[in-house]
Amino acid sequence: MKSGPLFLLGLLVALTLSWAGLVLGANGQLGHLMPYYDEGESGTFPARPSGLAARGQLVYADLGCAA
Amino acid sequence: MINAPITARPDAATADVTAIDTTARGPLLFLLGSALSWLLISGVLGVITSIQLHTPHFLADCPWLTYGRAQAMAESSFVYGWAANAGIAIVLWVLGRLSGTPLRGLNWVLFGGVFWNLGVTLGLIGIAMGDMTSFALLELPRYVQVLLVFSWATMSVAGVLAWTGRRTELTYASHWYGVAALFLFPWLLSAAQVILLWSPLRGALQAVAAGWYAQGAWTLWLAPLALCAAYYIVPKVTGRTLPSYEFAALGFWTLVFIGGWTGGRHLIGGPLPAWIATMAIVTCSLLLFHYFVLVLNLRIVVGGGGMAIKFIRFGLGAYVLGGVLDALTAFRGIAVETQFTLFTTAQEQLALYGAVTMIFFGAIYFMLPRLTGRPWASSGLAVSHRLLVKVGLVLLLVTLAVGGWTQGVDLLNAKAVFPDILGHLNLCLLGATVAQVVLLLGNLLLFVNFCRSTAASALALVPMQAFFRPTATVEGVAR
Repeated sequence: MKSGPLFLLGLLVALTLSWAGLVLGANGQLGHLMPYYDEGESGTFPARPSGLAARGQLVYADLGCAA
Repeated sequence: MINAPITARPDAATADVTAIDTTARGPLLFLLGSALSWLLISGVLGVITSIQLHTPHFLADCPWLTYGRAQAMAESSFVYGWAANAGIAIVLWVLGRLSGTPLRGLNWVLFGGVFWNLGVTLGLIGIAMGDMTSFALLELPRYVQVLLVFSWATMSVAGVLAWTGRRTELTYASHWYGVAALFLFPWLLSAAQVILLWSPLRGALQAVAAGWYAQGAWTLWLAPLALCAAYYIVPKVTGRTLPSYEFAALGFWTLVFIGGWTGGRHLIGGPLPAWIATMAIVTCSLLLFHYFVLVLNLRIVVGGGGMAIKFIRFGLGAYVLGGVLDALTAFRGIAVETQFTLFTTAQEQLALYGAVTMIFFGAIYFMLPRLTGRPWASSGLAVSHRLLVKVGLVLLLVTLAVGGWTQGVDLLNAKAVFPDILGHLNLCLLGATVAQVVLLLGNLLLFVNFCRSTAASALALVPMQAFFRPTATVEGVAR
């Protein structure tokens, strides 16, 4: 560990590997998926909350509970 | 590899003062003072949120302090106010001492410190106004996040100069952990900002990225900050070389390479690929090797005395216990009981308060007399602080863990109704509030002692320790 640049490179590689493996890996698997239209249900999934649920989501977000 | 340098008389705190300490006094005391102020603020907010859990109407009419905002402010002020300020002050001091030369770039430290604290203040105001994000440990509004990255990088300049300008080619475990924390945090924070705040990933992937950041902030930033202090102070105070030191590098690289992969620990059962949770189980188990090395290296802390060592011993114990609990609760069979309960909160408190904060307390008790050139103003306040913090912390952890387990069992019971589940938690939540109050009182004593010690140092026109020495140095009291 006498070499500073090598040490820094090790840190960078360690961080990049976990980021690429976990975040990019999951994004590669799921990121391109589009909402699914189910003809049997005549609806798109995942469904966007509507009416009371949508208003509740706004209230929650405003109070800092969720966004 | 050789162990960190050891002084012949580690208890002679004020006799150990060097030019390295005196030149860095101003900026480091500013950071420590800011840290302790934030600790009190987060303590007050912690008491408020704790009360709100069993008395929901408490401050319910004040939109700035509803539970969601107060909780985010408490967490942010604790992590980015207390832990960040104290951590960087300790790391810079340790790196300066290991370099063997006075710290350079101290104006950058002061400059960065002012802007860091300004950023945290603006961030808390933003959270209170409702501009928070929904990601754990990243609640500060995005308009202050860039300021935090640059402020941290600015403060780190002195650490980098101390590291590159060290007199010897050899590096020690304290070096590795300290430099890793300085470098990894801005990279981690900026990457998280890009994928969560500026160009957010879609849907459930945000949970993966948030988990990666939260676990990264713990394993690659906060834990290394604390371990940098522990690896430096334990051999100094005990006067012994670290046993099995040849494994220290393996323990370090295990943490750095494995830590970032444990981000899926909180996503078990979520709408995500199963490999993410499985990866978390595997990596949490692999990380046990890091804790094993830590026990091998720092087991000499058990025999040491003195205020600093007592805090660090508690902190290291909590750190190892937290690691074992993380590994156990990562398994699906146990996570089904503990996830989304107060047990998770207990684990967070064990890590942030039990491990990091206690080690920081120990480091502050060790370094302040060296920075000011005077003993702590009151050994009574120091002993009272230690007792109150330990009692408060144990009470907090026990109440949260018991409450969390009860909650988990109740939630899995299909016949249990929600009001009954909350009713079962009431006693534990009241206990947690008492614990938060005790912790706040303890930290108030530390703040008073810190102010008195630094004020006495600032007012001293001549070196007084030769003529006037309070009962004993804090380091010497328990010896």
